[in-house]
Amino acid sequence: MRIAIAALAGALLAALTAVSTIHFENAAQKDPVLKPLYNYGSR
Amino acid sequence: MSERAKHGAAALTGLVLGLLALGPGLARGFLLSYDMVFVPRQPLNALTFGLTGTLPRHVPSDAFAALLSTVLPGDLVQKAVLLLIFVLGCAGAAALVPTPRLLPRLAAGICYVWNPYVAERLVLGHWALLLGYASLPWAVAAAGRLATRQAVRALVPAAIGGFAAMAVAGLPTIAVAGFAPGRRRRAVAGIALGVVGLCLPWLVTGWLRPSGVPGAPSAVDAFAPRADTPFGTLGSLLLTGGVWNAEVVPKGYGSGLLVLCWALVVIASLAAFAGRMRRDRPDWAAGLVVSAAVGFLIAAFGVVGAPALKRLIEFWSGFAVIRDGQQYTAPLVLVIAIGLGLAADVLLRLVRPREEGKADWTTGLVGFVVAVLPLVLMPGLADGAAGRLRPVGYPDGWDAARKIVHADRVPGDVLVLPWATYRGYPWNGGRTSLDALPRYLDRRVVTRDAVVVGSTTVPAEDPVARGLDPAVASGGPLVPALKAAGVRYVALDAETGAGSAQRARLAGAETVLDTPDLVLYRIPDPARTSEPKAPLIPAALSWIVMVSLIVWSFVTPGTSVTRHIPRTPRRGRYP
Repeated sequence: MRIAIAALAGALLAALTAVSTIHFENAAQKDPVLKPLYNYGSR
Repeated sequence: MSERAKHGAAALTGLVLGLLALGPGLARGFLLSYDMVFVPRQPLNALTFGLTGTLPRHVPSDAFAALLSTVLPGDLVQKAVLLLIFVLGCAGAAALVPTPRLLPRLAAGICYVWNPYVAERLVLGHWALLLGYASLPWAVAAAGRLATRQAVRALVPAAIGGFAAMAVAGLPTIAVAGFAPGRRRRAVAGIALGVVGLCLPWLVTGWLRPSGVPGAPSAVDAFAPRADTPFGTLGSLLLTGGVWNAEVVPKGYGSGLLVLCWALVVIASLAAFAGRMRRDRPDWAAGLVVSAAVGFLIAAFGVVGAPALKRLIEFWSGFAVIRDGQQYTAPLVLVIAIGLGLAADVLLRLVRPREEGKADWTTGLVGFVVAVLPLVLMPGLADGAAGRLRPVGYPDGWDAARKIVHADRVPGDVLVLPWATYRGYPWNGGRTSLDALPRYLDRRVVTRDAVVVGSTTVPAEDPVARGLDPAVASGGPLVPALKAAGVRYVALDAETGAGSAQRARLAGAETVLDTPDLVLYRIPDPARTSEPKAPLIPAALSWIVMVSLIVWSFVTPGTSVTRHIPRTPRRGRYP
């Protein structure tokens, strides 16, 4: 039972890491404001 | 493993997380991101102590940075402060989990320093606020024991951070003491007085500032929390994000399967916290829960009660401090972090009940998976917040300007053009940052401190900037008006090209430095003016009180956040 839970946890971590990596690589990042030059930020 | 070793492991974990978060940002150079400005050697002047007309938001954090930069290069001071936030926060949160097992504690510590709140505030440059955030678990533990000296000592990083830091750490500390078992009035009053005493440097200068505290109700919409997940603004706040600025949301956060998993983690953590606290409530629990609830309500108020908040600010401008309400969710983040630790503890007990003795690889693996969940679900904080924090050096022209201004014996202010306070310096990769000249030059530097958020302009607070605004904004010749206002230098640190419209307006001023990154004009014979400012004696007294309190808090040796942790049996190891 213990080994089954550990295996499940390991598999979950592997799956989440894979999904996270793919999602992160594909995510667009909102760049810091270049135009207009003097904005504090945007909503 | 001894308690001391467990604290050490948590602190080391915090350090590793800090190194991971800053990444390439650890190289020599300055991380200039939104409100975070460090300079090679910050002068200690009237601005540092809040004795100009500006609001003392940077008091006493700037004085701390300036003092440290006398013995260490400014960029190293910055990295040390940022790493300290991760170490303190991780170790403090880990120690609050009432379990002898190490991995659940580490899960809490990791969650506390690796979440959307920390990522967003770090990119937004709120290092001073994060000092308070990092001291919160320590202060909560001390306040739960009604230990006045330890509470004051735990709040020292928050006191250094100033207003925002004390708001997120000091107020919950009072609440925790107020709800602690026993409720010894004297101890609670002592802690409250200690909190007030640590606030005095900015409280006094802010209160006695001749031009008062501007409210600007229009800024409520600009700084209200916003949804950075599909769960709406309130849901985003519950998931520890929801900061007002869309540009600082960690890369990859807020969409897809990962945010759903993060929501499940938060819900499970809250459930674990509630379940455990029902049967075994540490001294700090009630006050922390109240603080978390009130903090969440304050944050939510800017969203669901914006018109009411505007009216409150019109009634008394002091209510403006709750405009950026998301910062008050810090106690909620601590609850969630402790909850994750407790959830991990429950899971480990399911895998291997305590009675069975030594840990094995199965419990280690399960504990590790839970502990690293925040990292896996939010990788956008790593690698210098995915490229947002990169070290840069100030251009040579800046150093030359500093020397010129420093060598000049004629008094007078420095006016910075273009007439705005945030920059996207090309040498900083176009990243938004606060204009660094006010901290770089050892003179009173005047910038237009009105801030622009989207299409909203929050009015300027500096009375000198407000007085000069009509002349500077008019587009006409500047020198006569600046001369009359006591301005000695005009610094152009953007749009410095030969065709710049600003240059044409400075006929009559002498060009003393002309570089691609900074142009410096000198105005001959500026008028002698004096600026209304907070009185010196009360300000000095406030510093004496604060420093005395800090010294007093260190008089008794020994501090611990772990007295509430049950004794660990000598036999058996726990992951």
